[in-house]
Amino acid sequence: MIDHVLTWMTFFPLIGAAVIVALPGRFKDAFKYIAVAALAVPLVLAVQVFAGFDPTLAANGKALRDAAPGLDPVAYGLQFVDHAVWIRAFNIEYFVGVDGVSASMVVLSALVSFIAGLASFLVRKPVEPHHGSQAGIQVKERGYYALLLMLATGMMGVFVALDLFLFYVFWEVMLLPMYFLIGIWGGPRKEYAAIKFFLYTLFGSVLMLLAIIYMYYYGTPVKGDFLLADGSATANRHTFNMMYLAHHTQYQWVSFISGKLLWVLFFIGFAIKIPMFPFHTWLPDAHVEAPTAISVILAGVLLKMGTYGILRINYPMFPAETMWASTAMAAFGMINIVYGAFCAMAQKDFKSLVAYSSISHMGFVLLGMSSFTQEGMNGAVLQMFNHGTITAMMFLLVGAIYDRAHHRNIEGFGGLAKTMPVYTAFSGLAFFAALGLPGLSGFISEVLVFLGAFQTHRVLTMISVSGVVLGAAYVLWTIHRVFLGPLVKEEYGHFSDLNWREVATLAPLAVIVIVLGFYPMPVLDLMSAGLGALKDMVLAAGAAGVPVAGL
Amino acid sequence: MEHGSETTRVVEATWLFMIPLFPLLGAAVNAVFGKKLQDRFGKGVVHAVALGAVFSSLAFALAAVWQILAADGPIVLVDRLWTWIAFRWHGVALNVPFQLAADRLTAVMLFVVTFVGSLIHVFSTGYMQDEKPYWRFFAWLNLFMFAMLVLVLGDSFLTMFVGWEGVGLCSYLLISYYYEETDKAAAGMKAFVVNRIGDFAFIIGMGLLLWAVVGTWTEAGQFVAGGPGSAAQPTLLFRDLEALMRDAAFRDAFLAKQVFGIPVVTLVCVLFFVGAAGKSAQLPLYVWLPDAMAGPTPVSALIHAATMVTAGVYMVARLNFLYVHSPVAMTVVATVGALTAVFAATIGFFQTDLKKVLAYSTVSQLGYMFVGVGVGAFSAGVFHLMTHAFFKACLFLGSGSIIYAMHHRQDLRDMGGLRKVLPATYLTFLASTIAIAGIPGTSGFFSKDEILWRAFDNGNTLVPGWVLWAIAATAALFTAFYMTRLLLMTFFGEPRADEHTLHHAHEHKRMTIPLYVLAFLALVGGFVGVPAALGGSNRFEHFLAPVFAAGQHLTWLSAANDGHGSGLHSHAGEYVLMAFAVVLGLAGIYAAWRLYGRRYMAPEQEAATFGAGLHRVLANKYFVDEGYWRFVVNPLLATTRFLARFDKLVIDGVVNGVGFVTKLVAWINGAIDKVFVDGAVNGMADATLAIGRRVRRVETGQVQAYVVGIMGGLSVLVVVFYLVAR
Repeated sequence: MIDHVLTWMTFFPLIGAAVIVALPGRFKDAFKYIAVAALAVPLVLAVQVFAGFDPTLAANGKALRDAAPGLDPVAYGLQFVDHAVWIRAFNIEYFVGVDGVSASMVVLSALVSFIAGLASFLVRKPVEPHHGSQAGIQVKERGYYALLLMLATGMMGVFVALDLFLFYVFWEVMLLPMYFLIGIWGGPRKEYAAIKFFLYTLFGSVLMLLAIIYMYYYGTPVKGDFLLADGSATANRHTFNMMYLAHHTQYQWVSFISGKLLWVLFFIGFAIKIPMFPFHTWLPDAHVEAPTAISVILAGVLLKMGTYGILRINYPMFPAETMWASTAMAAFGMINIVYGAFCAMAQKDFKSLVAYSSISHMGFVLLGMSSFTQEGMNGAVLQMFNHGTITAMMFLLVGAIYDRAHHRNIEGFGGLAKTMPVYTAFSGLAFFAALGLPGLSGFISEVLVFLGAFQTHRVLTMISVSGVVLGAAYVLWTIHRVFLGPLVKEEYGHFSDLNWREVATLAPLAVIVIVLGFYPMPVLDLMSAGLGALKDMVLAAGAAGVPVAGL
Repeated sequence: MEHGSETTRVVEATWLFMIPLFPLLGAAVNAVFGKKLQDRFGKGVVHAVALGAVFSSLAFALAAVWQILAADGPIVLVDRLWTWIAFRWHGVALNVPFQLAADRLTAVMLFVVTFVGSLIHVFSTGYMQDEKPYWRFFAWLNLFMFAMLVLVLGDSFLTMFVGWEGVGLCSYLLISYYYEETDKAAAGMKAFVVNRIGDFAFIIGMGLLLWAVVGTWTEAGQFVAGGPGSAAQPTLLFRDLEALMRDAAFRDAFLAKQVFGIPVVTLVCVLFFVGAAGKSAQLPLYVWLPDAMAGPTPVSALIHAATMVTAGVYMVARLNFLYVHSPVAMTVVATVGALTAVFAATIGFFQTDLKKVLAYSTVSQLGYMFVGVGVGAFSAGVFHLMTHAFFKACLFLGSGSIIYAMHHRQDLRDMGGLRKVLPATYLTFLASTIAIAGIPGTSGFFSKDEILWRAFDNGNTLVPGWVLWAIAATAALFTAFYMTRLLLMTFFGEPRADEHTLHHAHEHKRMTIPLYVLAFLALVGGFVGVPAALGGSNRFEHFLAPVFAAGQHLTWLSAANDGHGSGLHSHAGEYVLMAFAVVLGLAGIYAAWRLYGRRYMAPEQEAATFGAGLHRVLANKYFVDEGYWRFVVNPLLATTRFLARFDKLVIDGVVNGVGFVTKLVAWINGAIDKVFVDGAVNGMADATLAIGRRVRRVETGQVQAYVVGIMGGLSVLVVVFYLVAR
């Protein structure tokens, strides 16, 4: 058992990045191994978090808080906490920890980052080395792996940060490497995609920053017994401590600024990341241009930050406003599900199709979150986890076929089942998991979202359920066009099946997808108590007069 | 329980999971190692694994059936496997164990599935012997057995749904078995997508039911858990729900709940029926089943006749404790069933494809079963499900035997005179045909008659019983007609196949044995359900009665339930109806024999005989598929394309527009700067340019530089904060 496990998980990749940057060029063949090793360490530590997480804490937290009012993080269900003073003048602290909302995301982030590291290895000659490649990275390896590791640090940091300032720093740290990774190692339109991604996300960040600063200055001044991590008194009466902001802070509103406005500012910042209609158009572009491994991270982890942020900031800090926005969230979730599925069906580019399917699947998260029921909330976070694993598989698979065929035009394939049986088997698994086949992980989260959301939003949920038909349609049609039928081109008959490295990236995800389909309890246990507490917090605030809307 | 029926005892049976486990293992072995096994050791090993799996499963299933039969009073075997979905939370939240259970209804299904399934596995070793991906076929077939067994054993909606979708997946995989032929692959896709439309309703029904069980909505639309008519804990277990419905206080509150002004129970039952209609190929979702004939013939026999397509009937029977409370839903079930029965039967008239005739026949017979469960005669519906499994599996396997002998031709125009070439097939096909036509004494007679009589006698449905009866009886007449036509065109008359084919045509022993077994059951299998009117004791119905006890106390069902053995009057009515049904069956046979018995009629002659218009409409299946393309699929695809264009042009257009406007504003700003502040800043600008030239070197694509920049920036930031903090 290692102390400060979350800190190690967050910063170990950064150490790897420093090593890669510092090493002389003649070691360039070692960069990728260093990177994978630096990503393997958080994965191993994630096992400790997974095994050592006490799911009962959050459930008992209220009793603890009532017994001994104070600011012990344990009483708030927070675990593996590291807490130190960072910038004393502004009461900024280095405060990390996990609870029911973030524990599963920390595990997912470590897993997907590691797999993305493996997937970055060059296996085949890329199509156009100068225009970047989907195949694996062979140019400018030093920069690529250093940025990848920085990205891993940023992502992990966002999920563990419990200080708003720290959260924002990690949020931005994650943004920059992504910009370069798409912009330098991407496909033909990489500059356009990278700048679009960057500006879009930055736009969201700015809104978020405004809200954060407002919260800092206009929250209830902290009481005298509020001490910094080292026991010293605060430098002023403001704090970024998210735990404190969520449970002990009221805001005073000046002029037109209200809780609803702050809620919306945060929400837009996060909605861009989800991405939520109508802020979603950066996603297909970014995915289509990004190298395979980066798409895997983008879909597997980055999109979750949007919904995670809403659960981490909007829900506990503005519970009444969250209640107020319930129907709107459900409506946008419904639009994402249906609209994303329709758009996916029309795509010609394989990767673009998977990107739109992500939009559809993230809609389930929004819908489930908006229900404030145990089933819906757990379904939503479980869907975040499942979407991370399933979509990571799908992007790896698309990358694998692009490496061979050097194009991604769905209409241009056909009959691949004959020549690539292993590839077909993995694809079948991933795609059927995506359409929510019972027995695979995607089903559990989808059905929980439906069952939960139905109790709050009747009509919107009914419309959303049509996603199961549309999902089946685009998934099966894709399988039909790519794998079935006669071979369209002679040369496709000579494609090699998946090699060991490709299998190594896919197999762990496949195992998770199958196991969680029949036994989701390990992941549900991580989250259910924390989400239950969060749900009750929102409902209690809502009971003060804001009814759950009736649609 | 009310009305004094025996209480069902719960008996632990921790071995119940073995029944589905063996096929799952068999599927796993053949899916992963099948190709290697087949290449190295031959096909024998592959089917040894598959057959070993299904026969082990059969043995355990029979043990379960035996225990249920031998028990004193009704029992339910329960095997709680693991906690599937549960939340660590003290509030109200769903808890679903992965649990298997077998009561008497399950016992019937277990027997049908494992017994017929085993026979069809045996048949397949002969039929599929020339196929190269032999292992793949058996892997999927075993997987299907697993899914089907989970479906019938599943103790909650969610567990059953695993099987429900699992059989759909296997159906997809097996229909697309010859995936290199695009249209066959497309048939699999169609089957899955149409089934998903049913699932859409199923999931909504499940959500609605859970809501109704957990709590209620207030006038303001707020959800309130608990309260009157709410379970302490939300549940999706069948037996829990059944127990709740036995509680009068809960039941009354539950039945009073409404959504959109419709009683919840009605809406839930109709939604589940839509799900059932998808799986069991009822109007208007039957369109996938005829296309599903693209799969290998044993698949058609097992999945698309005997087992999977009856899942909908099974589900309605399983949920009888809900359906009996909704006359509207029952009416919908019975009416759709009756209409499907006659509608599909008419399409069967002029099909020229051997398997297509049987496919429409299956749709029609499934309609019959729904008439049975829809009028409240649940055991009659399940009885027909069982007898149909025997004779329809036999018919499909017989057609498989024919197709095998005729070198994969299945057009009736190439058949004729086969009774001498394929004697075993002929005999068994004949036996099954008279069974489906309802000739007295055969299994089909007893089960069909039971449904017709109950439909006539029922006072439950909002449609008068005699109307349902008339429709169903017409379907019986049609059935006798087209089945006789099929028999005559295939086995009688002059052979129309070429010499070479006929010379080589032969039967395979591994195929004829299952045929004999099934034909035997098709003939005598009905004797377990001989009605009281004919001096029997209807053991089948009495056996299932405890499962369907929920409706017994309801007055509107009592007429049907007490109809048997309660007096001469109802017996007399039953005799009349029975005689009438037999006459109709014979009439159908006679008509077909008059028309087709002495000579072969090509489609052109049929068109001349029956009228070109009628023939065209029926032979083209009422143009339903064309209609679906025109009014559903194409508009949907158009919507898809429209939304994708909208996304690209409008949404993304706005985004790019904003970008453009920003750049424009920046340019104007710059221009203004140039005009007004130009001179003053010239020197500064030069300096800036110079710096810019130097800075530009950073943007060399050398990422080390970027990284150093970012890290440097960050550290500067941190240092600045520290300094400020001092």
